[in-house]
Amino acid sequence: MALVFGRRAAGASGLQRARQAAGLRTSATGLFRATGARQLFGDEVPNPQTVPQPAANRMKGSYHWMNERAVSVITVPLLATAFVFGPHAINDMLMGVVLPIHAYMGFQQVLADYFDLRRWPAVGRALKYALVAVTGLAMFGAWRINTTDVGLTSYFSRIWNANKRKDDSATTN
Amino acid sequence: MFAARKAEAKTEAETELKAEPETVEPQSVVAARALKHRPVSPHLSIYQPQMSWVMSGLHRNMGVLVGGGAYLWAAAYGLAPLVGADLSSVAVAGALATVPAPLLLAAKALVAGSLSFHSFNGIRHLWWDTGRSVTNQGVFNTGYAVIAASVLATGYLTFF
Repeated sequence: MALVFGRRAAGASGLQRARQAAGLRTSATGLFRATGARQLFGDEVPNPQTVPQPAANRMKGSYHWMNERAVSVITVPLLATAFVFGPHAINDMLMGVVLPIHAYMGFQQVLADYFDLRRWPAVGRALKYALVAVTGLAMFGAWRINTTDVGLTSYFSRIWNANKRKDDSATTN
Repeated sequence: MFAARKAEAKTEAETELKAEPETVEPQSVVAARALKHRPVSPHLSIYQPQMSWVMSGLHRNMGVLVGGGAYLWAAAYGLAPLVGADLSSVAVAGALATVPAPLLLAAKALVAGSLSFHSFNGIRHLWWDTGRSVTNQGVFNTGYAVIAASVLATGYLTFF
């Protein structure tokens, strides 16, 4: 240890000092040595056999990954049907359920990346619950579009072609 | 043992500081500052822009844009009767018809681009998940295919 620091002090170039001042690089390998189990725990090194393992959960880990793929795979024919064949009541109803779940799982990953619960205990939890609430509301809204309005596909199509309708009325007038 | 090492390092650093006070800082101070100014991971701005990670980032951002937009819109539709708002297809289409055409076209291009890119790139991801095209050449080939398909779909959806 003493050797490492002594050498660094003697050979510290201007560039190294600039990097030190920038605070982004230390380049002192001595600071980042691997720590052995005995250094961390002393003589009472935990026995791996007795460390509690998380219970198997069909919504987590590789299952969660497969669930995401399943939702994505289902999304493809639903959107393709809407775009190619146009509105259909059953397709609209399915989209009203699957698309919010798709968005929910996508936003879950975003929250996991940027609002990790260890770093953002309160905000992260609040956003997690807000996501559940918005997902439920979105499903309800999609159900209302499907039952009280013209259905998801036609709704989107009407809004999308709003500018064309204006052109049509302009030419007829 | 650890504590002893730390103390040794500290005294070492302090002696250095006495010898050269203006040039060498204690390593513990440098390490503490490095921890404070640690960049967000992944530290994107230090990488050369490359197709793989740029498209990966676009996939997420466009998914957030179009998915989040549709999500909030549907949620607003569910809440609309509570606040007395009218988000019915007739009312919204009528309101949009009064928006200036270039603005509407720009908005349509943004939505169409995001949706088509996220869709085609999503299919590319599912294709990768089956273990196919997971090579540098495969990433480039599928990437160019996705860009071409997205550009065509965006143009079609925006102008036709």
